[in-house]
Amino acid sequence: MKITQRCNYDVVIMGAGLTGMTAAVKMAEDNPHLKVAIISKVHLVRSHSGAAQGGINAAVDREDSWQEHYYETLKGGWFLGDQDAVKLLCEAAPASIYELDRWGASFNRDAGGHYAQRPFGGQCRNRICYVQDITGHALLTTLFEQTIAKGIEIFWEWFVFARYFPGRRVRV
Amino acid sequence: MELRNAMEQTMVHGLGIKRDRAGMEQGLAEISSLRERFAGVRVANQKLVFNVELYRALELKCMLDLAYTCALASYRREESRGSHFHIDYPAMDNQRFLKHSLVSLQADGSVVLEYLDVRLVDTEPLAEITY
Repeated sequence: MKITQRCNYDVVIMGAGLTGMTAAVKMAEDNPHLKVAIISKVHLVRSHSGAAQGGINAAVDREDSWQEHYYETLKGGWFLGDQDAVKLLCEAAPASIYELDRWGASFNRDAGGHYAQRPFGGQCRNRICYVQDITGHALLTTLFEQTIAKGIEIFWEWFVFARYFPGRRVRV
Repeated sequence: MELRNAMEQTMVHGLGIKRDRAGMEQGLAEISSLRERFAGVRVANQKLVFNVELYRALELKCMLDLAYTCALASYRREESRGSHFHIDYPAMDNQRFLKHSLVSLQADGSVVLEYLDVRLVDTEPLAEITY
């Protein structure tokens, strides 16, 4: 038995955790003319992001600020984080939470209906948004729905062991 | 399976959170010899689909490369930072190690370690971290 199949895509993403799926969804959203595919070793919702139970730091509280979140993230990473990248992450975090919320992620709420917050590693105030103790799994489900909505093709249970770049003409 | 268990034991004992020079040296040597032993691994199952034996072997190969990478970068980082607690160098050393470790695998299987400076924008790194 011989299995050979040739497929053409504009963008192929290897690995389908929360990061891989987000990359695919955003790529398809911003470039509707591109054909996007994901290759994953497991069913998408079984990715290892499902093991992340804690929550996501984001300065969504009215009294919080992304600047404070930025500093505490640098300190928590013992200053090994690239500051431009950490800044971008902290500044954009609240908008990501709102977007996930609109996509249907059922973040916990406090009595007033705002995002419930609790403390987490390295941070000096209550700052994480969470979904019970299954934040990672809940978000995998939410993002999986979005990959379907955006028409992203998925190669389930494929193992990548070599990449071949003919003539090394690869656009990175 | 035996190789995989040996790898797990080595990483836990030589390269746990608290580590010292001698332990890491031994860990590196053990992972090197496991990488050599992997060359002798043979897969009996020849099926082309759902071949769990084959992909377990491929995974093990990747994990051994990664284990070696971690061990090498940790061994060369002569300071303590975060969960890398070096018993022989208990202090953080921004002078020498405010850097990312970059490891690349060469075609012959050897590994090269380089450093890349952390990009600083507006925040001066602290000399020590306390909470």
